[in-house]
Amino acid sequence: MIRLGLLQFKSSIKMWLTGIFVFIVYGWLISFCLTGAVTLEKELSSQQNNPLPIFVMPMFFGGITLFFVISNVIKTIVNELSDEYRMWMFLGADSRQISIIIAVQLSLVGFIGSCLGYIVMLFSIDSIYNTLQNFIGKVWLPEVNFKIIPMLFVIVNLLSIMICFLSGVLNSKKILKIRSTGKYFKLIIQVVVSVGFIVSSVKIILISSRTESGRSLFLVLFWMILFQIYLGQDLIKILAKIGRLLLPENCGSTGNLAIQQTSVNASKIRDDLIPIIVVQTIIYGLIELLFGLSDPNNMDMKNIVVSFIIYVDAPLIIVIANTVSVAMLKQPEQYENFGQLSRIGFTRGMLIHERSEEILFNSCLLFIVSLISNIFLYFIVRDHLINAFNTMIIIDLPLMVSGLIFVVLVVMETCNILIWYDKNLNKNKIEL
Amino acid sequence: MKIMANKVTKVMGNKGNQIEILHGIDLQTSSGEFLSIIGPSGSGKTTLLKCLSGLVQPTSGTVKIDNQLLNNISERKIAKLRRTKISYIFQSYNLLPALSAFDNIVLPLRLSRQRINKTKIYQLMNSLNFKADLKQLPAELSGGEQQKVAIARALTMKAEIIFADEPTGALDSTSRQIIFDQLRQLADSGVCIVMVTHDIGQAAQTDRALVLNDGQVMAEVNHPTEPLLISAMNETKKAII
Repeated sequence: MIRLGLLQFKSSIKMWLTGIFVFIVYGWLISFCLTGAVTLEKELSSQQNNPLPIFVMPMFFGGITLFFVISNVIKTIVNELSDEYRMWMFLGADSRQISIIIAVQLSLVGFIGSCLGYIVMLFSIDSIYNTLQNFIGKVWLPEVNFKIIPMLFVIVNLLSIMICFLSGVLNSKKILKIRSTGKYFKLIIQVVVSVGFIVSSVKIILISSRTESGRSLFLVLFWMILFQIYLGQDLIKILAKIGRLLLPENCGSTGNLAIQQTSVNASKIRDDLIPIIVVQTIIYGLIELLFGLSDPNNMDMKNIVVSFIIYVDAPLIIVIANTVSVAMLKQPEQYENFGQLSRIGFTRGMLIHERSEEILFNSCLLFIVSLISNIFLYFIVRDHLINAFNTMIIIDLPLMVSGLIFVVLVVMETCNILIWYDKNLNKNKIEL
Repeated sequence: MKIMANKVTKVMGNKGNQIEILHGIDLQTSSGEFLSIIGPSGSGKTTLLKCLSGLVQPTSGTVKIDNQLLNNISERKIAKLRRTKISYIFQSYNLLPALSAFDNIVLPLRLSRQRINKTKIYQLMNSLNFKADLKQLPAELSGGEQQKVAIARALTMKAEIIFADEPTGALDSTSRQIIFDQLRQLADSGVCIVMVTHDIGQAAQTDRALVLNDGQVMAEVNHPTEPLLISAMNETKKAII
């Protein structure tokens, strides 16, 4: 099976390498964290604060994030190569064999990505460590000399290969819809997550002390993230339908098409939005916990920065890298769509207009879901929040996130359209 | 090795916009029989072939292969059936572009972890008059050579049933005859072949022909000849008019 996976990889290498960005970023992240942790461990004295969690925890949270978000990359590639995978099935490959073929290919991309990530880390570790030192101080992060440790290179690659292989096997079964128990399994998980989320939320409302509610908020946050992962898609689906119903019947030629496109691409959009919503929720939850529920007299800014590094930076970096990877992978599909639209008379300006409206609709969805999550988190602990806690953050943060996503995606799409037009114009000139 | 289809129907489309493509088709074949299915475009030939071969689930009715019911068969069992007993030959040459000709031929054996005898494969390809290199990828082979690879795959895995959908449809006349002759030889050696075709000349060389129209079997011709099939097709047209 491994040999067949390698042969399949050779044939679709271009497609896989298009999505390599997220793997390079993950390779860089774990190389940086491992090198940092190993080097600091040698230098540590017992009196100092222990900085190891700053390096170990992002590795852990980054790995978990990669495990989940990677399904988007696999889904896009499997969709592009669906005819080939269907043929594998016609010729007698069962679900286990196909998922191994996909996992082998994913592991190879993970391996190449982590090698490149390691190289990037070698050039960037000193400057990033210095930046961290400026934020946290030399008590937490003492002066150290980073050296190349060959064993770490092997560990980084093994970690990356292991996560990619496991995620490949599990996600490909789900994507190819060849896991017969999948439907019931998903339902059971949804019920468990909903119960956990409701119970933890009710519990925190009944708590009377601020310290206790701070501890319980962690638990609510944990269940809420699972809720968003396993039930978020269905909720976004309902909200998108309501959104489309509320919009006027005639939104102009590009507007009407944009709404239709969001309906056709609904499942892909939901896949793209969930990781961003999860990271937004983690950031808001941490802000509430560190600024809203902490004693303002004993607030330690360094501790707050460390907490953000531990919990947020790795998922945030991986989610951004994943968004870029998926956008790159969708380029051929986009080009096909541009071709179809231009053949029926869409100009370059109309295409940019239509795509911007589509992204605006999705960004609004992102804003609304994030806002609902934040309002919920605010209300369950509002009695314990200190006066200094700025409630505007409930709106500001989702606005910033959705605004940033809107701007990044519009810029990427505009570049895509311009590149496509440029390519096509050149092609037409050659043909003439 | 028998195929038994009982009142097979197939409905396609979304709610409110459904079309019944097959209307209760009954069919039986036996080992060593070469069955052809002919009919105009849109008559449901390919859909019937897909239902018979387990590529598509019928909406109602049953399909059995060697007394094994294909409706609701587990994914693992159908996969095993595909790598041990059933083989497909399509017009669009169902070869994996990632694998060389040789790897495509031995794929079912590899998937079921059987030993591969290289010499035998090379001998087989010589007997099929395969002129290209077995290390070449499908994209580097001509249409005729690609179909020979698909036939070699069926032969290597000792398929008991071959489902062929317009297997010579995209080939030149010489390759068409070579491929058809190979299928005929396979049927004579005991393999059951179900072939969908537009070519009345080829259908006339099979053991039995079904004339399909609008998802129904309009005529069944044993030991068909070209005039018999043409008249059956014409009668079908008249009956519809």
